[in-house]
Amino acid sequence: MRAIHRRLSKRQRPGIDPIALSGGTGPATGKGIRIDRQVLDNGLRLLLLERPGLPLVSYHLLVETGTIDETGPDESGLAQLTTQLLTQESKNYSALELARAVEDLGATLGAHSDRDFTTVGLSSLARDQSASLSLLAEVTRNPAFSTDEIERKRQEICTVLRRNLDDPGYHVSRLLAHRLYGEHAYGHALLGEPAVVESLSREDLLRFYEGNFAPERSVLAIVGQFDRELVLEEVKNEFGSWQRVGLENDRPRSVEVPSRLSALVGEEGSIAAPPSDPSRASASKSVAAFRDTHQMDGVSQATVRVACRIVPRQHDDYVPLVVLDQILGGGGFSSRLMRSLRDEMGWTYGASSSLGLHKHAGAWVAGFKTSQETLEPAIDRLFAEIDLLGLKGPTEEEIEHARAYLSGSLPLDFETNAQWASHALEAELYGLPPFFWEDESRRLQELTTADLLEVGARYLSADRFAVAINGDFLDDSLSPG
Amino acid sequence: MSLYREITEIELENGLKVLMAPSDRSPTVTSQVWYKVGSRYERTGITGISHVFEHMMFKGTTRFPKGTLDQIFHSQGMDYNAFTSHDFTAYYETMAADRLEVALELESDRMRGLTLDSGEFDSEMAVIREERRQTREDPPFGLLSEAVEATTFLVHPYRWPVIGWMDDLEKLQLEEVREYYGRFYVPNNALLVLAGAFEPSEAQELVERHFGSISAGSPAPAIDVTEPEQLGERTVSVHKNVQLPGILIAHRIPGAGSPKLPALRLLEAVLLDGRSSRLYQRLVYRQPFVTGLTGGMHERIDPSTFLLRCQARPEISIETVRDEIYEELTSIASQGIEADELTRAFHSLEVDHVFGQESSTGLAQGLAAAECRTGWRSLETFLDDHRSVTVDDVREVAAEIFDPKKRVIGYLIPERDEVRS
Repeated sequence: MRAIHRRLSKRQRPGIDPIALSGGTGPATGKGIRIDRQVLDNGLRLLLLERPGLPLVSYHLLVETGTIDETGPDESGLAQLTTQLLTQESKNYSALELARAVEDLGATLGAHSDRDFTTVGLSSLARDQSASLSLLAEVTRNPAFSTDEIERKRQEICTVLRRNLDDPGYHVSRLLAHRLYGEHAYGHALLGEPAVVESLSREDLLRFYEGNFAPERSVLAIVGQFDRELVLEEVKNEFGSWQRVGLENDRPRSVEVPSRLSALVGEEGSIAAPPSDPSRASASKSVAAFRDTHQMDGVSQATVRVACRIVPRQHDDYVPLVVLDQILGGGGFSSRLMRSLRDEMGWTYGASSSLGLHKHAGAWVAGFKTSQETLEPAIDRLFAEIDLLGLKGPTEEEIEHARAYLSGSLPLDFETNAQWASHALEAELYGLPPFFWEDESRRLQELTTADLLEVGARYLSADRFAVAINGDFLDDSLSPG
Repeated sequence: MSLYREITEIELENGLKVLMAPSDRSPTVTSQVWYKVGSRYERTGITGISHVFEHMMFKGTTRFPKGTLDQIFHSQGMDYNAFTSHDFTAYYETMAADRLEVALELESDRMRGLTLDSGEFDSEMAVIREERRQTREDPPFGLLSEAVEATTFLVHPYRWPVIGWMDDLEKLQLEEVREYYGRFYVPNNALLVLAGAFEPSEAQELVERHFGSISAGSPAPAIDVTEPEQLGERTVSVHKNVQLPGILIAHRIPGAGSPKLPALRLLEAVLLDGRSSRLYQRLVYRQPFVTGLTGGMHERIDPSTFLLRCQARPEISIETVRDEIYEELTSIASQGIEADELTRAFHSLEVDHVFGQESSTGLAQGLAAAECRTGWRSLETFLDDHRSVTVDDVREVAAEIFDPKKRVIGYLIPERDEVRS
């Protein structure tokens, strides 16, 4: 590819699959497409989206649990280990039997745990609608957690964690997570820490599963070509007896997200005031609040990533942040970072930024890779771009381009079953209005230059950022600074 | 299940071939221009030159100077980019259906009007060298992959990497780039594929309006290189600062159009697709020998490779991994596979085939790749060709391809470790 960063985080969506809805029979979204939302007696939300044309059906179950429910660093990795075991085996299927049952259909079964949510998805041909739904119910409702499979999966994860030590991105992510979120669960690595993963017991997994996987926290999205009446009946048969855990009163779980940058950025929903001294950005050199490095012998490039704390997904700043991110580094080859660091200087293959938004906090991340000798000037240039955008705001031309891209590319986000599911589940997860993308499109058109200047000034200042660098600092040509 | 019968095929007077696959599944359309040029057409000294165009094609034309192409693509809300392989270089835009003409106008303009400015060239070559460092030199398997390809092919240009050798990237001259552009970027060496929400008659009119006046060029030179038979095992190793030893195995496979490919694709699924697959069960599940198991066929115009790659888990030697892999491969070659394995493999391939048509991009890309290799009509019989494969076909092709005397093995060795043969 011309560059590795393509269509970066125009929006943050939950995981591998997604959906969202109005009540009863929702209005049309797109040409002739309707999303029906129903709620079963046990609280399970059901989203039905019929898309005829190709004989495919996809089931996406989202459960509102993830690392957010790990109670401390000594549970880092518990959500992921629990989730990965769901698709490994079940009470009625050994691991090999389950694999064969799924693959006999040519289907794909996957599960993933993120910070605020966990997804289990299964996609198959429409002719296997019933068998696929039955398998999805089996793995989500009847986990076995056998000691053999726990041990097998534990060792698999620990080996991947060791392999990750060769990945520069892994190291800079860990350093930044620590700066952004401290000991909070958002700072936990999704796969966990090796020592913790080694120590987790079957009882830990059972407790996590039974305490967090519940119908009242779950949404099942069904997208594609299916027999509506039949699937409704089958969903009730497969999931109707799923017992509530009684978690409703748990919500909203008040989550204080401490930050090493909290003195600079404030907490969720109460971002600090704009910089009091606008002239500071014209000072000789911008300096990040924190700078951490990781030594990796023999690499030819340094990997740089910077981040600041921002608001949760559902905050009013979301749309202006998306526009500003487009202009800074999320807009691919037209963005400031790409033009500055790649096109003008030839220092990197790609520079980009993205928004990493969660339910209780978010981060604005930017980064690039470069040769050792251009590391320091490239970091300076990155922060100069951040400061400049924060201080002066975007130009009218940039705003129009970003607006045109975001509105013009919207149809591209609604091509596949998985994309439709993703949008619908995003609405459910973050409590957004049905068809939130239409509301956000309107907000996009209404944004003014002053709005963007104000929002940008809240976040974009080098001294609100932490920087993490992976490189070979023992190489004579590179100084850790 | 197939959408292929709705395809319109035309050829302009200048030799540009056009395939149109209308679909009303979503209000989007994809335009892809595939040039029949890739590293297969290069020579020593200019390796990587095909890929240079993937960058320079965005650097401006006489009509749309530096910076404006990206701005136009972006402001139209297009998902656009390019990719280069050993055989092809492709440029694509996926967009809201009402913007198709913008994409056609820009693609036709840069087919002949590229500026190729020297300042832009120097800057972009620096970017490409950074790309090479990022994608080939630092990742654990990057340099080993290059070494294995260079060992597998002694003569054929598939032996060098698509991105090119660093030495060539430092010495490449703009004049060579200009000459290459003149030779390969002509309508009679290109394929245009449109897929998505459009009316074929209207699209044809747009295509003729924007591409019809471009003059044909000389036919691209034919590449006719036959790799000599491999008469014994070849090994290569790369020492690197990595946590775990790795192995990369290559076996040569037939080129496009071979009647053996359907059986090979099903064999690939039997070996690697899903948790019930042979190699997953043997190397990951029953005994945890490896991590990061991946691989498969790299289908190209000329005979290419089947690759297998993984890293040994702690306390497991890479020689043990190698031997376990070959026990499984030779077992299939001698005893074959079970009927239910073949059924699962076919179902997997069938579902992938349908999902591949879900987006306009997937539909266009599948058509273009098939057209450039064997003609797009091979897709019409794709599922039937695989449905008729037998377990004996799979056994025979396994025996032929996975002959241990014809293997190339690359070892990724953590610094200071050694491999015992």
